[in-house]
Amino acid sequence: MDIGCGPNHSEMEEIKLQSALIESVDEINTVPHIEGNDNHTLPRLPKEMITQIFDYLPPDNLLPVRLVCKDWYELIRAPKLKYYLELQYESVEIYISECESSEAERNLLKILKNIGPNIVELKLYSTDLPCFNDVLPNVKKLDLSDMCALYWRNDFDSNKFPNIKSLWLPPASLVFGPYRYLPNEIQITGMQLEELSIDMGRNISKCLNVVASQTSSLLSLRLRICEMPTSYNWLGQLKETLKKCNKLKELYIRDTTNKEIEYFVLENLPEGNSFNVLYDTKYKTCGCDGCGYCAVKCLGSFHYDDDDDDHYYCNDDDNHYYDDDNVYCVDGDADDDREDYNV
Amino acid sequence: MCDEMPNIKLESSDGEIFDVDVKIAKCSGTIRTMLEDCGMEDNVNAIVPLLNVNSAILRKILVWADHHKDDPLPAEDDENKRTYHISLWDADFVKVDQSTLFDLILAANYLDIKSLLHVTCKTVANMMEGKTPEMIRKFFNIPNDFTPAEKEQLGAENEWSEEE
Repeated sequence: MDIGCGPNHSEMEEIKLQSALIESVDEINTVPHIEGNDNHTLPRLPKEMITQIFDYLPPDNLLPVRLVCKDWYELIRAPKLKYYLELQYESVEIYISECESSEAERNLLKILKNIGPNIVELKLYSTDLPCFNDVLPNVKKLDLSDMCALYWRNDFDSNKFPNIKSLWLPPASLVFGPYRYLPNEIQITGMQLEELSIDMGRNISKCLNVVASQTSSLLSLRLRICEMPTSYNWLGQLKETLKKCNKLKELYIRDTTNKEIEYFVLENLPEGNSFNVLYDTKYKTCGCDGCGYCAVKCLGSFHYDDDDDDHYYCNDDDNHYYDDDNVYCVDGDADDDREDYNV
Repeated sequence: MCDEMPNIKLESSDGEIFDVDVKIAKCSGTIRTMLEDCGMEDNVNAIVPLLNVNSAILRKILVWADHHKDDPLPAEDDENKRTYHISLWDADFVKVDQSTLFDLILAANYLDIKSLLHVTCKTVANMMEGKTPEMIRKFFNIPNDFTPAEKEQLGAENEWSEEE
């Protein structure tokens, strides 16, 4: 490697002339002298450069990075990066695997205390529900539908969640063990829900009371039937409750037992309703293949419509037609309405 | 190198003079501003002292500048930093030891060579991605300077973030 010769005498003169000029540029680019620095670790870069490097990291990588050393912890608290940290917390899903441990609950509460005020949508998969009161002031959608078990907290205060518009209640029955959650224990009178998903459990009548408290605001209702009820005397109550839901646009039905109940529900809808009945494809558990055909079959025969590749509709009843995923109930001309509900 | 192209002399911090095509030297925003604002463009004897860049790094940067001399100037946008893509040639160029890489970052910043700054910073960021705090400390030889009390408090605050 050539070492390169130093400047000769005449060049030295020029350097002197130019040095004043160069210094003014240096002022803008104040960078520590990099020569003779034996410290090869990253922190020797000035903080502005470290921050620039952090800008290239995906937001979720900033969390471990801020725990590396004190300087970095402070840098990541800087306003610009804080923005990224907050951004991802608007919609949160939390899965805690240790079932029923008090530590899991403690951790969950810790997370919620940290980030709770930023959360707009929250979905939980954990087994125990800590007390949410006061940690989620801004949440609009609370999804508990995939929790695997639950003790409903008696200290849950629905008045503390004035902004919740969408509530997905947890499953009522468990593959393992006895019932631990009874829908009638839930009081959600303080909420004005637009969307409600409820698992009917064994006592459908009590479930319908929960629905009844929301009739004035509901736009979308999901009813899940996963247990054979002991009687059908709730059908009249269902009809009455649905009649009061004068804003309702969508009613999702999913019967994961033998589809009989679904049939009864569809047969007992209030006359002149203006909502659509849709087949709920969200739940694919309890041995159902989730394809939608089983529900279609129990309502009668159907044939394939050549004009509309994606849809099946019923021979017997002009007010119902079907596609792979959904059952629709329309009050008017099926051919016109079908256009609107293509999925 | 074409004879008609004016050359410029760059002097590294350790006194080495580099005879450089003006077009290549102008990859550096700092040098570009200097030449244009100060009317040095026609002065063939001009020597630009680069007080913060040693000869080893300057030599490497001139290789970069020669390869990228026909590139358009990068647009000023901070938004795409996280999706910034490194070309094969560039990735090969930054396959150097950490010390050289950090020197390149400092030099790219000092000389205002945005594309080189992008590539070097992104390369360091990639080295951090997906690592735990302890792995990052080891990788970059960073001492853990949190006191035991601070560690405990951070542990309580950030336990959940380390579970990933």
